[in-house]
Amino acid sequence: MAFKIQRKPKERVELVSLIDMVFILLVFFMVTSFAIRMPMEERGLSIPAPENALGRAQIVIQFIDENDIFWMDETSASVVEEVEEYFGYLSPERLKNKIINDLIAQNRVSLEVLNEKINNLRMRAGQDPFARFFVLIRCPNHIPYFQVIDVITKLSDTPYRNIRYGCVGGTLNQIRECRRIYTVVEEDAQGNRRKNIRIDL
Amino acid sequence: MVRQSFWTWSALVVVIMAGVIWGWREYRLRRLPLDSVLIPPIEYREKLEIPPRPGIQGIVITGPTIESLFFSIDLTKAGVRSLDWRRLQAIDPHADVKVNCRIGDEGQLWFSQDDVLMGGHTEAGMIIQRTLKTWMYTPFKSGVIRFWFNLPSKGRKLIIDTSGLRRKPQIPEYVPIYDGKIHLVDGLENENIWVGGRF
Repeated sequence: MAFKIQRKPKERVELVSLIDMVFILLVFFMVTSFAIRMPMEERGLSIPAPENALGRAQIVIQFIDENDIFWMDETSASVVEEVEEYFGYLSPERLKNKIINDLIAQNRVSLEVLNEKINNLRMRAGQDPFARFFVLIRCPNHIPYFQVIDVITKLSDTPYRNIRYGCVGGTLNQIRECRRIYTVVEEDAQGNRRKNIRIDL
Repeated sequence: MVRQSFWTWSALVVVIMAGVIWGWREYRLRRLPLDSVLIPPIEYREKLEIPPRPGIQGIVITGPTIESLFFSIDLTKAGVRSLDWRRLQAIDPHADVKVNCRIGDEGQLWFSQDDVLMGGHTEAGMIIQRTLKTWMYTPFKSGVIRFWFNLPSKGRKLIIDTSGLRRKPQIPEYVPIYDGKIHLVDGLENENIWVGGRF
């Protein structure tokens, strides 16, 4: 009778599963570190961080309705200055109302005109790589957000990426009910004296 | 014994590999700015005071650049002539002529015969008058301007009194007006000309 000797299986380290596990760990750590890093690289597309400061912009786009936008840029300063000069005798409240009404009357545009203006701005930005623009977009809650995204997409799509933007919630009524709107002479970063419009909300 | 050795080695290999990967990740993260690495815990979010966003407190819309203005002789105007000092000196080296003028709203230089004090130096006085009549200024200031042509003087041979000039009220205060070239005299060094002096 032949006895079969049972041999114990040879014990050895299973490298296959070990390598699998190590690679899974490697991929996990790589992905998590990239996930932290990417938003910093995509800063150009992110909304600027909150800061305790006035909103400074060359252009303010205030959405009123889906096809009704209030656009303010450097040409608006002359409107404010003109009203201040000719209607300076009015009480501060009435002067403020007069300025805002005149601004709105002259700078209320449709969506189509807004797109034209944005295209002109993009053209200006595309011609001068050293020019810097900041656009402040104010949007009330009832406006579909895709409209803002649409504007942001257009502003971001310039050859030199020299148009920056900030988005805040806000209505035209908040501008109407501001404490004061007036022109102020200030120096910009390049040392040029500029006649700015200041709106104290 | 063999089984125990197997698990020990396996654990050691895993720990070393994990250590290498963790170290590599730490090295990557340490090169990032601190604010992008440290993510505040969720429980602190409610305690944080969210600062106002730009544009909530107020808005400043950048306006047009304010261009500086220069008050000077307007060389773009036709007929503006310069005074030939050498010729004046050749004709009358002792000439002493004062002219009291007024700059009008459009920048033109006004004076009458009575405003020219030439004290016997008629020919030199006539040359000076004829030249001054052609001078036009940029229309940013108006008022009295006085010229003293003192040829024999050592030093200040031409004194221009601009103390009577005032900036035009239509020009806003914030617009700076600088004085440019307010005389047109050929052949006289700048050190012999005093602008702003009274006499």
